[in-house]
Amino acid sequence: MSTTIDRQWTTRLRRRLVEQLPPDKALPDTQPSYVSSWIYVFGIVTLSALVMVILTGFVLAIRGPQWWHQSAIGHYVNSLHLWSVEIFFFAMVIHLWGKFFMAAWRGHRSLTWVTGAVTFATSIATAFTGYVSQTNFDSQWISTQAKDGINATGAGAFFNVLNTGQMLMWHIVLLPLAAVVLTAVHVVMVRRKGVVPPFEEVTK
Amino acid sequence: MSDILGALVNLDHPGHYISWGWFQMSYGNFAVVVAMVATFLVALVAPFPGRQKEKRS
Repeated sequence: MSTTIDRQWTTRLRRRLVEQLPPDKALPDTQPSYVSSWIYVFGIVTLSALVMVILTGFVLAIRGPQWWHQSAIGHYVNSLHLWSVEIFFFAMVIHLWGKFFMAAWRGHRSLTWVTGAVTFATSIATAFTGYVSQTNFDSQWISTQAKDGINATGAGAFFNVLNTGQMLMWHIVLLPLAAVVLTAVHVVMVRRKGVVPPFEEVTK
Repeated sequence: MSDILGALVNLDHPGHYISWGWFQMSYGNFAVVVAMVATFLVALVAPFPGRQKEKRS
């Protein structure tokens, strides 16, 4: 017989969450032996670089464009932001290649694969809006080169690469939020289903 | 410091590009792609620290 407490939404939601992602799966003590390979490292390298990108992005957002152009510390934080992004994409592409050749969508992991692919696409858009928000000659060049291509898709109606303010808002609010949420969902999917085993482990 | 680095890598010139028919890519981007492929291949074969050899029966 269900009680009033059983029926309240907080109880039902908590039980559903624990059922979907039990604590021992969310924060596991051990991993399978096949994970002891360098090819499994690039996911966490990507995640670590993302943390650095977000932290340096916070600092840049607090101080603003004048600071990152005119101050030595601003240049330094701006460079940290750029090189974290470089490492982020470098590691993410190797992570993608590794998972592609492992066919990481096996074993009901299709949603893990799809969330990863969508995160990759979102990250490209985030990086692009970052390049056009630099407020320098490089960003002017990139935006004027990109406008015709983007306008040809029809997206120019609501996404104007020549509008610095709009691009900055997409870069520091909308797209990072989407990238972080998608990354969180991706990691939760990995935790739920576990790391994909090599082909030989499945056929044993 | 920036002057020293600037002296090591002279960027004050038009970009260098690889052209192959319709395909065009800067040497900088090409170097990054080569580095990614090399890192990927090394990651496949390099021994992972602390990994015990599997016993095969």
